Formats: sequence, C-alpha cells, structure tokens
Amino acid sequence: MSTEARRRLMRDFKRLQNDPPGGISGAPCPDNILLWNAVIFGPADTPFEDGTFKLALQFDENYPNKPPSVKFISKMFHPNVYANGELCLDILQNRWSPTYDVAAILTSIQSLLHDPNPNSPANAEAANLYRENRKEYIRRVKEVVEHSWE
Amino acid sequence: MQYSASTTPLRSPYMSSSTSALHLRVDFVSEVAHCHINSPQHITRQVDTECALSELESELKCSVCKDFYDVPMSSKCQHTFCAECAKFDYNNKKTGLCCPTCGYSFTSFTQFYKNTLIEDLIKEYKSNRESIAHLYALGKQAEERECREEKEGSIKATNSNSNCNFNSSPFGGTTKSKCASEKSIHKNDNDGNGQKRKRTDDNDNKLLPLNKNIRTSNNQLCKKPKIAYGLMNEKKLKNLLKEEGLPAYGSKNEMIARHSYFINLYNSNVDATIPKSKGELLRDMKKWERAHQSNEAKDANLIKKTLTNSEEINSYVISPNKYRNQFAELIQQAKINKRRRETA
Repeated sequence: MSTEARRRLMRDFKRLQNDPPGGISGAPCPDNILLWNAVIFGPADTPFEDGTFKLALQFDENYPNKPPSVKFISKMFHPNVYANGELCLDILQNRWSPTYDVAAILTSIQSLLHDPNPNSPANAEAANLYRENRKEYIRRVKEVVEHSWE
Repeated sequence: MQYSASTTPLRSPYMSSSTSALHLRVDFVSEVAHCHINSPQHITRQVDTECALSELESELKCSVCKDFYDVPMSSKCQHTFCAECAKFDYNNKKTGLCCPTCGYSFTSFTQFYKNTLIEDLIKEYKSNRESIAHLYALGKQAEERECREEKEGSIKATNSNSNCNFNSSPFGGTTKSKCASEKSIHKNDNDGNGQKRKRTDDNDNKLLPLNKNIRTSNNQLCKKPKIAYGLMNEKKLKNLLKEEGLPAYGSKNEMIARHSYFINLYNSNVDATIPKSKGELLRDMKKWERAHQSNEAKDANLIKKTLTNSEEINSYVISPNKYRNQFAELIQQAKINKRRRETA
C-alpha cells in the first residue's frame, strides 16, 4: 500500500543513495519499509572515531509530520543516549520539523556524537565524566567503539 | 534550528550512483531500482544528467514531501509548500501554524497564497524534461570531446584541465532549463496581465481572494472554516461527519482527526487548478483511514514495545542474524560514502 509516509520514505532512500553524507548509510528493512536500519561512523578526531554504530529507526504513517523513534542497537556511552539506546535529541522531539529527512536525522546524530549536550543528560554517568573526568570518559567511549566492531 | 551547515551535505553534480552493495529484495524497493547501477561501466550520461538536473529539480520540490510542488502555496516568510503539506497539522496547537522551514508562526492558513509562477514553471519543466536532459547529455558529450582534444593537443595540461572542470559543471543543464523557465515566465506574464486587470477591478491586494474569485466563478468551490471541536459533543461531531459523507464511528478523538484531515484535504483541493471531485476526495479519505488504522495498531504495538524495551533490544541481540547481512552491507556502504566525501 502506497501512502504519503511510504512515498516520502522512498524519496528519502533515493536521496540517501544518490547523495549520501560521509560515513553514514541506511536502508529500510526488506520486509518493512517503516523500519530502517542505519550505520553511523564515529566522527574523525573524536573519541568515537572508528566506531561503526548501528541504529534502528521506526517510522509511522504520520511521518514526516511526526519524527521517527530512533534507537542505538550498538552499545553506546554518551551523555544524551539512554541505557536502552534511545536518544535525547531536540530535533527528534519538540524541535522536529517535517522538512527533515533520514539523511538529516542521521547527520544530526553523527554530529551529536562529537558535540554532546551535558545539560540535558540521558546518561548521568557519561555526562558527569564528560564534564569532570574527560580522560575516563574517553576511555569508556573507546570501549563502546571496540564493542561496535563485533 | 539546531541542524545547519553540517546536516545539509554539499551536492556534487558528479555524485554517480555507486556500485551499491544493497541488493534490492522486495517490491517496494524496486521503485528505486533505476537509481542503482550495478557496475561502474554503467555510470552513463543518464546518471550525470539526472544529478545535474536534480539540483534544478530540488528548487521545484517541496521540502516537506520532497516531491514536485502539488498546488504550491507561498507564505509571508517566502517559503513554499504543497497546499496539503503547508497545512500539515494545523490542529496541533504546538506546531500547527508554524512554517516548517523557518518557524514563522501564522494566525491563519489563509496567509498562504497560491504561487502560480512556480506551478507554471513545474508544468513547463515536466513537459520539457526529456528534451532538457537530452540537450544536457549532448552538451556534455561535446564538452568531453573538446576536453579530450584539448588535453591531447595542448602542452599546458593543467590549464586545460582547470578549464574543463569549469566547463563541465552542470551549467549545460541549467542554461537549457532557463530557456524553459523563461518561456513559462513569459507565459505567466500574459496570464499576469489578465490578473492585474482583474485585481484593479477588485481593488484588492491579496492574491488569495483574487484566485478564489476566479475559481469560484468557475466551479463554486470555497474553503470550509476551521472548527472548534472542543465545543462539540459526539452527536454534533457525528452529524458533521455525516454531512461530508464520512464514516461516523470511533472515539471522539478519532472522529476529530478524521474530520480535520478531511477539511485540510478539502481546503487544499480548493486551491488546485483542476480540483478533484468529492468522490475522489472521499477515496483519498478511505486510503488515509486504512493507513491510519494500521498505524493505530502499530502505535499500540509500539507502546507495548516501549514497556518492554529491553525485550526489543534483546530481539536484536537474540537474533542478530536477522539484520546481520543488511548491517554488513550498510557498513560497506558507509565506508564508500566516507571515502567519496573525502576525495570530493
């Protein structure tokens, strides 16, 4: 069944194929166009470098009027990512705009990795370490980077 | 907005389709199959043309649905959307009357006016797309030939290279398309004169009522008012729905959602050059109803899932093989994308 949301997701996929941002890829699951799998590489010159982080994006028929729910499948240690992998990102919540597409969402998440917002912490430990003990923060991040290769 | 420069990747006209590792296994993906090119030898002019034209096309596409404008409506803040997209959620008080691009807030959706110039441009562009693409391909071929000859003949190889780089930018496509747009601007001017006359007659500066006047004289369509559902009981709502020929079942919220979606559909249809019949609108409504129902079922599932969130993750952990291949392909793809960006 072709609905507005599905047609829009097809266009998003086409754009992601034709004009992909660096170190990002994503595609709908073969059996469900509303569920996407995606991979984000950790940005260079950050502790997340070399990480290959897997994500799942769940859309619904209200897309693009409503944002998808996005989740890290790979283990993540980041001030704005909950223990269950869910993200605390304004553009996926109250600052969502229907002009965003999958490429924009994934690029935003990639830039969130190297630019966390410790003022709205989803992971208190990560936020504290990020503020107070950067060395330990980096060590813990490197752990999840290694974990992401498995 | 938080996402800015970093999230709008630069477009390169030479972004050819990759040797995609993502094999398309299902029907719904086959739609995009034409943008996948399986071997590098296949990177043809057609792809180049498509990319060059895509820059031009992106100017003619709505930033909400990412498709060509369907009944383009422009706002005070100079942003344009399809009639349906512009009123996307106007019952939602939080985001309802904000411009999706800049966040400018409106007091009423009548502050959008129909942009006939863009509509004509799209019409003209669509009917000439093939010849524009063909001309672009021809121009490109000629440039390549020239470039090769220059390279072979000239001693200053570097100079010719820089020249050739300059020439091979997608100007070929845009200049040709300019012809098309000029034509349509010209055409629009003719239309505009007629409109101007009427405007002075009407003594009205607003575009919307003007368009409305022209149209209502043809087919007697006028917009339906926004309704304050909060003041209504279920019986009144049911009557409202019955008046429009819509199904009158479901909870109050469902009925409100159905009615407001219909009003949105109806009002954007009023702006269309060739408005749909009411029967067609009701068919669209049925489609929406089906999607909406499956969505609600999904929502219920999602709620269940969020309650047992760890289970959802576990399903990825327990059966990592389910998407293992896809993730492996995605990692390869991301590597290719990264390298491409670095070399670009």
